[in-house]
Amino acid sequence: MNQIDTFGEFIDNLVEDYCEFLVLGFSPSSIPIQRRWKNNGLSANFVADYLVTFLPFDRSKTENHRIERKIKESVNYIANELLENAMKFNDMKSNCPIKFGVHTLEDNGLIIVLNVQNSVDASHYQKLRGFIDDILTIEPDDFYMQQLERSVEGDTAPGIGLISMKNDYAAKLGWKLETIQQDPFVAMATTMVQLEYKYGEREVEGRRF
Amino acid sequence: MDSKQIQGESYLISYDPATVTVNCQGTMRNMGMQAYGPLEDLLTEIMGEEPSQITLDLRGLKLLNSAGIRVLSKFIIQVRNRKTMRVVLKGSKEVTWQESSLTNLKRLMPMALLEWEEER
Repeated sequence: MNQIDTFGEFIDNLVEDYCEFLVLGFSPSSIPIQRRWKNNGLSANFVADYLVTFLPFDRSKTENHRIERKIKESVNYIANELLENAMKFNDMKSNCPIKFGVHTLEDNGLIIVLNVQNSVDASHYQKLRGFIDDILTIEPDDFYMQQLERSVEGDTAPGIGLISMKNDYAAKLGWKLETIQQDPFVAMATTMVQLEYKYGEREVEGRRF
Repeated sequence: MDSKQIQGESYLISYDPATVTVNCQGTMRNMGMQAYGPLEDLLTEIMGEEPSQITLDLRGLKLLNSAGIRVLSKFIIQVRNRKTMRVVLKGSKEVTWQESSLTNLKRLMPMALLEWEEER
């Protein structure tokens, strides 16, 4: 039986609870990563543009334009970072496709869930486990600064994108790691990012934002 | 040092020696820090001239990936370590990554000056 571990804030069975969703698939071994790189940004732009059409906003109100822009640009940044990570760390030998999804849920507010699934080899699995332990336990500002300082020293300092999602965008992060093969080792890593926008005092199309 | 331009597929970086200002515009999502080499070389060259102040005008930079954030942070930390110059970051609250990340970077790096201005 496959070993499955979840960390942080991870929602299972996401599709069953969806309001709206979009899933994209990539076969990363089909073209070199340098050529595919531009596709990350194009996909992120598309996902962000696509998503905002579903947001429950009254677009005739100018005050809603600001939050719409903010959501669109936040989703664009996060989608691009998730895709960049997936392309970088995917185990190309496994031939498993990379799957990217964006879902919107409503639960006393709007929740936007972005997730990406890619395969990882044993080395990246261990590095990812270590990173997850760090980001979930080290004080967020200290961890951000520590990783930025490592960049100056020429270290690869992984995870600035994920740390900035947590610190700069107040996103919730979660992971699911499922070992699908032992020899050679292959695991599917799903990273999930949730952005919450609480309904506030202003009424927007019958809802309160 | 003369004025300089770095033209990317989706961005333009220009350096104005009169005001010691590096202006970044467009979208920068290069593949890893290595792909930011020309920008890092420009910043290193400017630092080498030891001006008292270097301004990064980011207001027109609509999107930046985390590798780019690392490049900016690395530059700010290098300036901090030299202790002889200061960095002014010009940002716009109309650009989400700047409102989100620059505010935090400023908090983490108090020696950088952050000025919010409308985009020109």
